[in-house]
Amino acid sequence: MIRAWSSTCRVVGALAIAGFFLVTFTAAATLVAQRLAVAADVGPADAIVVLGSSVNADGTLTDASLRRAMAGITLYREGLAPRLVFLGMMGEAEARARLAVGLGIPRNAILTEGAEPTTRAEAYRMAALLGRQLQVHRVLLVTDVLHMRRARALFVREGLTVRPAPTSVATLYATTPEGRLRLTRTLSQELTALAYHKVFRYL
Amino acid sequence: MSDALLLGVALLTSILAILVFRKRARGGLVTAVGVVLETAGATALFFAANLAVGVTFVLLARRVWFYTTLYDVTDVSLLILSLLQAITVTAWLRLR
Repeated sequence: MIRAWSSTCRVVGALAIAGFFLVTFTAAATLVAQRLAVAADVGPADAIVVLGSSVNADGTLTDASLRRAMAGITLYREGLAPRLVFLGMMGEAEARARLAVGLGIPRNAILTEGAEPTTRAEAYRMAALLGRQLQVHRVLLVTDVLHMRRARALFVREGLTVRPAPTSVATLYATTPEGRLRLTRTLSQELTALAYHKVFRYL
Repeated sequence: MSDALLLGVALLTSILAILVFRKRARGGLVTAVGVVLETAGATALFFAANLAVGVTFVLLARRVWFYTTLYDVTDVSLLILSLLQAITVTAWLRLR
């Protein structure tokens, strides 16, 4: 029993250490990430939908949330859609709306939704609110570049036409060992989430 | 640049450690590498088990009690806890 444990651990350990060097000191993670990424297709749409991320304990937006919000605001200011929808729980959507208003976006152009805990729930809610109530069918979808493949598939499944507007694209080109480790972690999360959605037939 | 720097620094200190300790060490370096592989493997196995239990708990909690995010389970501290578990178990088995 102990010998089998030791042998198994040695094999797994060799693989784990080899994997560590592979993802940390080579371009393997960036190559996989670039394959998973969805290219931007920014153009006119009926609404800009900024997916939720997270807020800090004091209610301020996290870096990722702020990046998405700013991308949405920029797209609106470029005149690509007449509506700007902010999603996000625990006050995130409202905090983003306040930021947008502060930057000159008219309040009546902004919609906020703060009750959807998952991307799947966000897609379902947006299809109901935009697609069925407001007759909005083509959306500019704003989320992190590695989250976009799953998010786009969920929105398309709900009947919306999606134009991807990915953020955090620089993460695809990690050039430091720590950057590649972070990228590997995000990739692992996203690939696992994609597999989970496929297994349970959400995609 | 940072790749070469980090690998170079680790290689240099490893060589220094070998030079300093080689006459005082009780076992061979190959045996030590085996223990490292064993500990690394145990860490990976504990990490996988911790993730599996954590994900199961989160999915169960979502269905029965309250919503919680799967991202909580991917906190980097879980990897460090797994390393501590692995070191403890590897040392314990070697004491037998």
